Amino acid sequence: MSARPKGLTAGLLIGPATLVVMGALVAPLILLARYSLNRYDRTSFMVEAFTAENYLRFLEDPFYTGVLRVTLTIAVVTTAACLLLGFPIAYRLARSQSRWKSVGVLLVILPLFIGSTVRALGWMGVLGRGGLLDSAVGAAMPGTSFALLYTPFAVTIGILSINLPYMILTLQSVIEGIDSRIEEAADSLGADGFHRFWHVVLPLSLPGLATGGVLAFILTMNAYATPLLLGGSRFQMMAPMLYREYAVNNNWPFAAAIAFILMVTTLTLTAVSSAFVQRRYRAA
Amino acid sequence: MTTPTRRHLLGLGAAAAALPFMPHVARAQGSSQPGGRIVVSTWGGDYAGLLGTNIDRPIVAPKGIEVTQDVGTEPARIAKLIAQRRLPRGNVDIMCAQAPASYDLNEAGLLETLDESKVPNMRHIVPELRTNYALPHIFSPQILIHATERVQAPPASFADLLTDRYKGKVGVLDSAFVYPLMAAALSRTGDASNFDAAKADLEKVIRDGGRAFTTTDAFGPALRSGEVDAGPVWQARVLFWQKAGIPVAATFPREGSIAYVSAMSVPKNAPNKAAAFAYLNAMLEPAAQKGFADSMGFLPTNATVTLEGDTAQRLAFPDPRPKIVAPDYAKLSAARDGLNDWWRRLLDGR
Repeated sequence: MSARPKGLTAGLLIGPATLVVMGALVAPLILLARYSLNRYDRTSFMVEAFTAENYLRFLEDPFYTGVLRVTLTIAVVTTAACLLLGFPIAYRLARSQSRWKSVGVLLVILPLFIGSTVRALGWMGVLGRGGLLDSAVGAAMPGTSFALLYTPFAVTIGILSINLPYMILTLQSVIEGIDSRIEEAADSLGADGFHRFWHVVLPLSLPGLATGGVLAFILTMNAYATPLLLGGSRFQMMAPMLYREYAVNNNWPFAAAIAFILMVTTLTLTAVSSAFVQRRYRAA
Repeated sequence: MTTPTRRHLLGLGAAAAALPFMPHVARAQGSSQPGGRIVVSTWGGDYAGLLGTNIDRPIVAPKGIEVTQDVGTEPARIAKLIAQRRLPRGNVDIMCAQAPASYDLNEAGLLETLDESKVPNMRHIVPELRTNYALPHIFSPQILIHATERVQAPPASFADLLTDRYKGKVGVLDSAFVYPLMAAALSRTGDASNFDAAKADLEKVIRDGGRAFTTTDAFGPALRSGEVDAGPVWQARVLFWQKAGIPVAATFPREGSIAYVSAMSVPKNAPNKAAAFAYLNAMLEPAAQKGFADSMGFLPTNATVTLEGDTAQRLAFPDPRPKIVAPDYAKLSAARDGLNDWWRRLLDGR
């Protein structure tokens, strides 16, 4: 057998996947980038141009940057809530020796079988006027109304319910990889519950926290159905705004610019937080 | 036997390459007798279904015209039409779009000019709705709906919706906000196109806590639950919700009703124009028009159509006949981008 250069074999193995990614992701992105520099025209749709006006329109207008800020705030809040709520559940599942463990995992996965639109509709039934919550409050205190639908709270709770399973599953697999004898060693050295968690479990599960956090953050930044259905017409987030520009106003150049701004913001924050966590992990 | 030269081979190759295009060439230059296949670009859902049951199968199929529907949202279909504007041969024969969008398409130079020699039934079209680029298919006046359980004195004018009685209890459709804006302008100034004069009225509605529904379907349940008590909507919607058992009634505003018009047009590069004109003529046929009135509660655009029975009763105009106002599409088109921007900021409250 003739010896083949090592690089060639690797190239052959990576080649097909690379081609698929280039064709399905990179090429459309390049096209989108080109569109974002075009000019919108009502009658001829898109005029070939080479202008930064779509980006400037977004960045110079407090209305649009405000929408970006709201999106970021919701993303940070839901990601933090996911971490806080997800960690105890993930830890319990990971350390469980019970024969019911698989049932627990199944319960976490089960909501993922239902689409986000359907889940949002479910929340509408709970939070809306005349919904479960409103009726319960109305029964307890007649004459009062307690409708939470079409508020940032409704959007946050809707997105949280969608992202939590991803967070739990990510954290669970990482925590399972931490040798439980390390925790026992901490116990034997006299650490109490809090110190064991703070000095041992938390630093070792940082990669899981980072991955889960990034996942939840990206999912929220791009959330479409939940903000649209639970936020209503008065609440704006980036993805529904992008969709409106693209599919309702037919303003492809501006929609492409919004897409890039959203993508760059998300990627930058993700990269920065990952780098930060990695440094902490190494230090730990 | 002669040996094929290079020139022979090239000639044969060119002929073979041209072959697939020959039938189209033949058809385009052939007789004006309609026939063959046409593509109708339309919304999906009930509308598409009713095109099939009222026009495609009973009227145009017997003429030898086979209809294929290209179903999608209006902006997506418009984008497609604009994208293929430079092609000598497009792939859409009939474009179904709302009247304002049809106006824009015509302004962009994409639509065939229509007259009675092409579409004989054009002469029956309700005069206020007639244009020579897009024929109105169905229409519905915007009227003032109210929840009968909570509203004792129904609103008689858009101005009534601005009174304290309706503070925070008015609903409008987010995507169709220009229609309530035109209603407000008509009420305030007598000119439905005086958008700037009406902005303050809609700003009051929204800032007082009025609802802007992202989907039409959300409006009906909100009238039932008490979230809103009144608002401007199409007559067809009122009838739909009444049928669904929601306790609502409606009045025609005394200043007049803005007409929502759904139209059909023929792109200049339609591959089968003769059949497309036949299709337009068919959609104006009384039988087809009655079908849409019966099932969707839209009014016929053919003035000679007389509705009968239950449908006639439900769609009857009050006496005296209310004023129906067709929007000034040119002014609407010129103002639209600015209005869209104003509306989004208003809703956002920033």
